[in-house]
Order: sequence, then structure tokens, then C-alpha cells
Amino acid sequence: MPRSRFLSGAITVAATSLLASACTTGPTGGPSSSGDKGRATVKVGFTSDVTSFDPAKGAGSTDYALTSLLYQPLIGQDDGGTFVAGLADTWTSTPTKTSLTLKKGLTCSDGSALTPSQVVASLKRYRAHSAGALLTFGAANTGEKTTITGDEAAGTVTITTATPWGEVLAGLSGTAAGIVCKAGLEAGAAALAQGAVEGAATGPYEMVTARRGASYELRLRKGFKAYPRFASMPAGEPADRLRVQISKNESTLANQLQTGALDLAPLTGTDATRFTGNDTFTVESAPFIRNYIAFNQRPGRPGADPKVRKAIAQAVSVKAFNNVFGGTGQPLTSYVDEKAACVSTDGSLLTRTDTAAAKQVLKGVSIKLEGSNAVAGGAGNSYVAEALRAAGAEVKLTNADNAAWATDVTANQGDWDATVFPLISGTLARGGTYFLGPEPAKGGLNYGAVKNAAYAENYAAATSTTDRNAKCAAWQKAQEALLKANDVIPLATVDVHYVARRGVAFAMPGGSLSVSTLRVTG
Amino acid sequence: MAAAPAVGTAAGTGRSARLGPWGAFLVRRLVGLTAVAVTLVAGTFLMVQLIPGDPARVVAGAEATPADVELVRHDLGLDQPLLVRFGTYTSGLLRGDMGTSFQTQEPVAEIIGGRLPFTAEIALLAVLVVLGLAVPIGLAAAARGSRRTDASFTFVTGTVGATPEYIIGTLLVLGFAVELGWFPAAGAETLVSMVLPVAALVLPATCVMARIVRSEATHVLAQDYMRTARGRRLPPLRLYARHALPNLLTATLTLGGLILAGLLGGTVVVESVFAWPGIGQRVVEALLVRDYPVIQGCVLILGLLAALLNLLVDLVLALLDPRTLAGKGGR
Repeated sequence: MPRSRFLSGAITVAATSLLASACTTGPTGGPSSSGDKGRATVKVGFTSDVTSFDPAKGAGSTDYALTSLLYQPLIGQDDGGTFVAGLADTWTSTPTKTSLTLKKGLTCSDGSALTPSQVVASLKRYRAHSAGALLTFGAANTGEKTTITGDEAAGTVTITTATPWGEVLAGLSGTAAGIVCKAGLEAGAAALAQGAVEGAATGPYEMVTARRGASYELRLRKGFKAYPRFASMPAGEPADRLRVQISKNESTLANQLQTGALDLAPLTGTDATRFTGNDTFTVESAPFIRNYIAFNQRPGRPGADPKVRKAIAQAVSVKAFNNVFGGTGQPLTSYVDEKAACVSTDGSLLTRTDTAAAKQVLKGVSIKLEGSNAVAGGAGNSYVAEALRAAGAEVKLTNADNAAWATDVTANQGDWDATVFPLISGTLARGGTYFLGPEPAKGGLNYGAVKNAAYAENYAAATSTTDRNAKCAAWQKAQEALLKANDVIPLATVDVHYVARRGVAFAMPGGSLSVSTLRVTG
Repeated sequence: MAAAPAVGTAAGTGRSARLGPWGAFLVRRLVGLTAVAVTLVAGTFLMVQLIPGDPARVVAGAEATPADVELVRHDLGLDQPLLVRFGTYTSGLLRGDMGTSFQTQEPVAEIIGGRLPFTAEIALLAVLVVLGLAVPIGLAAAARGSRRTDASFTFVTGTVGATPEYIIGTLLVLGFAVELGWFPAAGAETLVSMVLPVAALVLPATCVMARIVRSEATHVLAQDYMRTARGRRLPPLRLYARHALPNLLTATLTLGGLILAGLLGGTVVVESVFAWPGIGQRVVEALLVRDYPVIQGCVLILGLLAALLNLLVDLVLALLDPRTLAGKGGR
């Protein structure tokens, strides 16, 4: 009897303890309040925190998303590479001179006027501090070889390059080239990197609160009218407030979407399937990573032999690679996806899968394959390793995390023969910088020491013209040279699935989410 | 030569006598704590250097040229020899400066200051709930002592105790957040947000600790003084609370201290599952981008907290059982 009474007492204590922990709490969180059309808080989730609020230093998708809300570029880039107005209303561009006319009545977030001279100062800062600026103005136009001037009376900004370069507009449309007002420029890089500087913003939102690594709240700037007008702008009104929450785990984001704690979140893994066919949500997919095989072509490496590169291309199946990621990606016909301007869609340029032929070359060949495990734990790398093994190669696979992989492969400090390259950039010019010029040890980005004269010649032709037809013709020849030599073996994209609750809509110009197009539709 | 240790021991014994048992105990523990701190400082510094991957390259970004990367390396001080960097780090620590994040340029002390309260909140609540649940459950299981109770107890505590926190956390979210909608799936916006992360920490730890309590209680309940007490027909609450509990606390607290220190490690995983903005989630983030100062700072603080928790347990034990004051080989 005493024993059972004690047991009851113990159970009561246990239950009370559980209740006590529950009773220290407040009311249960409800669904997000996105119901009031145009005047609501929209909650957006991301899996990574912002590394820098300085637009010139952005390094990840969350950086780009938040800085694009705070700092508006002069122009935007839409599907197929066409340009749309941003802070600039009109523009003209030749290979050596680009002139942009600013919209009337532009203001900074403190209400002061945004003048051409401030835009010039911001662009000069971008030129000096952003790694991406090299491609905006051209490697031959560094420093004072590019002049940036403003005309206060005419409201124009003019960029002149010493040598022809046709990528200025594309560069200016990037988030990194977002314009920072005088207050931000004077505050310095450290202040800008750490968070909102009062009066620095030129974009549609300004920061209200920032809890690094946890959440950010942004408020719509009253009277902001310089939204880029993409072809497929959603209906509705911008949200009054945006609450950005950081959850390191995609499953957590998916749970928060399901329970109404978030209105929009990007998912790259299988959690996205929870929302497919669910009327409460819309799912828009876009390429997140473009995967291709690239080689270390230095003497003595297997990748230096064109026959080995071709055999490796024959050994792998794009379809099988895509299936590793659930078959939801897009097979690639170049090193970027079909949304990119001037991308080759000519399948005849690709080496067809032929395992029997691959075996004749790869039998006994030793290949050190190194890839990043950032996506699906490196499952794509494992597939390529197994495909090569099946073709008789002796493969040593290294599934490194992103930092180690970047050091070993893109800085060429590791012992590697081939890699599954996860390209984030979606443009031919930017993605193509890895196949030409000096090696990392000599100050370049050509990590595989690729020597493809036809590619380099046509890359130069494509990037030095602003004529769209001439540009695309040169790009086609450049891609043909690269693909025929098997310097690149295109695989497939890994897609990001943007899941939004009903009542929230957004545009994906050029195949990537533009957070500034987020609208409350009802 | 043989005389030296004897002199030393004698001197040491003399000092102990002057300090008294509590003084000697505290000195011993503080020396131990200092050794742990020094080891943590050196260990975490060296450990991060061994992680493959170049932090300068990560900070500079994918499109950075080697020249940009070298500039970043210089700015971060990573071009300095290892010993110089260690000297800079330790001298900074002595001044209370834990460095600056490579990624966000925030002072590490500020990062920890902002995150630690969140981790402390769930860890401390978890400790209280574990103690509040494990002791009565373990004691009750030992008191009941039937074969069926033992089998059920062993099965349940063995299964739950061996289940990792992230699996328990995921199941809790699916059940209580996604399906039932009783609690938020993640975040730290309301107090109710704490329930599921704390439960994920508490469940396995409670089971492990309850097994320890039960084992100790079974031993204690078989002692003659307990039979005598039962023979005097004392009320159950008084019997177990006043006679059994104090005698099983020594071993329970000793092992429990280790389990509770392990809860701090558990927060790293649980914070990730529940998007709880604590120090554990920040460590994971810092590891991925090789943010050396943040990794060092967070691991140092978590390590020191674990050491302090053990010190606290030792103090409680010493209060409950003064024999432990003498320590190993003491008198």
C-alpha cells in the first residue's frame, strides 16, 4: 500500500513538473497575419544568416535577399537578360560608355535627396570593394581605367571604360551594385557590414530591428517608387513589414510554413514535397546550383588527357545524376541553365553516355574526385564516383564541406583530379571566368588550368560587345569550344523551391527570387 | 632524492591544515578549474587550426581573386605565424577581448552575450525539470520493485534514453506542432516556444538519470536502516524523503553532474532543430564558415560552463557529504 501511494505521488510530481514547464509560457503562436491586403507583415525564412549587410560584400543568398531590399541597384535584369528600370529610368550602353538617367525624386531612407554624385560615390566604392566589380567593369579596366562621373543638372551617371567591355549593365543590375546613400558611405565598411546605418538605404525597405542569426524586421519606406518593373510582376501591394527569420534547418522552415509561422521560405531538399499539391501553398522552383564536372588539367593529371575527359563524360548519365536529387532538377546543356541569356541549348555539343566506350579508356585510371557536401551531403559526388568506378576507374572520393572544397579545388591547394562543381552564379560571363586566364597561384580564377584558346577568344568577344546578336553568337562559339573539348561536363541543376502561403506572391526574374517583388495579394 | 616528495607532502599537508578542509577543497577545485580553462583555451585554438578549409577564402567569397583572398587573410591576421596568433588571442582574452567574428565583424563577446541567455534559459530549465522528474521516477521504480514495473521501466528509459535529442525533437515537432498545433514548431518569440526544445533535452536525460537513481535507490532501500524505518511504519513521504533520498544523492549527483553538463552539448543539436537562437546554433554556423574567433569563444564558454556545473555539483556533494571534502587520498 505505501509503495503504490508513493508511486502515485511520484507520478503526480512528474506531471506537475511537466505542467510547470508548460505553465511558464504564454499563448500558442498563431498563423502569420498576412491576411490584410497590402498592409501586413510577411514572414520570410532562410536557412543561413546574413554575413554582411554591405551590398558590396554579400556572399550568400540571405545576404543578397536582405541587401536587395535595403539597397536598390540602378537597373534590374529580367528573363533572357533584358534590363528593366531600377533607380535609373533610362540608359544607353556602348562597349566603352554607359550612361544612366536617374528617376526623378529619388530619396534616401532619411528623406534626403539621392543625387547623381552620391550614386557615383557608391559605384566607386563598389568598384573598389566588391570582388564582382572586376566583371562589371572588365579586368582590363581596373582602377582609374574606369571613370564614373555624374551630372547633377541632367540627373545622369556616366561610366567610361578604357577598353571595350559589354558587361557593365549586367554588373550594375547585380545586388552587389546596390546604391548606398551618403550616410552609409560615411559610416564606413564595418558599420555597413554590421547592419542598418540610418539614412543609408535606397531600396524599398529599411531595417527596424536586427537580431543577428535569429530575426530581422524591415519596414516599407513610405513613398518609395523605384521598384524594378519586371515582366511578370505579381499583383497586390508590398507588405508593410517583412519579418525575416533564420532557421538553420530546412525541416524547421517547412514545419514553420505548415504551422503558419512563416509565409515564404526557400527549400532545396525533400521537405518541399510536403507542399506539392497543397492548395494553401504555391511552389515555384528555380535553379539554385548548376552542377558540372570540371578537371584539373595540369600536366600529369588524368584530366590533362582529352581522351580521359571524354571517357568520363561517357561514363556519367545526366538523368541518373538528376535522379539522385529526386529528378526535380533540369538537365544542363552548358555550365549554366537555360534561363541565362545566350546559353547553348544544342544537345549535339554534349558527349553522349557510352559506358562501354568509357571502360576502354578508364580501366585502371586513378582519379581523385573531390566535391562539396553542401547539397544533400554530397550525394551527387557519390553518384559520379560510382559511375566512374563502374567504368573501371579507381576513384578516391573526397566529400568535403564547402570551405574545405573551395580551398582544395578553387584555390587549387588540394590534391584533386576532378570535381563536381556547384556553380551558384547563373550567367555565362560570371560562371565562365573559371575556365580562362591565370591559375589561382598566379592571381586568377582558372582553378583547373584550362587552356582553351577558342573559348578564351570567344569569351573576350562576347564580353566586349553590347550588341545582343553578336554577344550571343560569340557565346555560342565559346560554349561549343568548351563542351567539345569536354573541359566541362554539364550535369543538372539542383533546384530551390520557393514555398509561399496563399496570399503572398513574388516574381523570379532570370530564374531567381527577387524579394523586393514580394506582394500581398489577399 | 627520496626525501623530497616526503617534504613536499608534509608541506602540502601543512597548508591543508592551515586552510581547513573547505579551504583546501576550494583551492583544489579552483586549481582544477584553472587547468580546465587553460586547456580549453589552448585546445580550442589549436583545434580550429586543424579544420581543413581556408577562412580567408570563405570570407572573400567565391568570386574573389587570390589577391583579394590574401588581402582578407592579412586583414584577419591569418598571415601571422601560429604562435603570434596564439599570443594575440590569449593576451586579448586576458583583457576580456575574445576577438571579432571573421564573417560579421561583430565582437565575439557581444555575440555570446546575445546568445548565451537563450541557451542558459533552456539548459537551466531542462536541468530543473530533469532533477524534478528523474529523482521521483527512479525512486518510485525502485520502491515498487515488481518485475513488471522493472521491465517497463527498463524498456522505456532504455529506449528514450538512447534516442538522440534531434530525433526526439523532430518527433515532438511533428506531433505537437505540425499535427496538433499546440506549440510553435520553432523560434523563440514566445515563452511557449520553450516547451518543445526543453522537452527534447529533458526526455533522454531524465531517462538516463532515472535509471541511475533507481539503481542507487534499490541499493539504499535494501539497507538495514531502511528496514528499521519501514518497521516503524513511517509515512511513505517521510520514509523516502528523509531516509532514502539523502543517501542516494551522492552517487546520483556525481553521475548527474556529467549528464547535465552533457545537456549543454545537447543544446547544439536542439537549437538547430528548433531554430532557437542560442550559442549552440551559432557554433554550428561558425564551424561551417571557419569563423575561428566565434568557434573559439563559444566552445570556451560552453566548456567553462560545463566545468562550473561540475564544480557546483562538487560543492553540493561536499555540503551533503563532508567526507568528499578530503578528495582523493585525503584524510
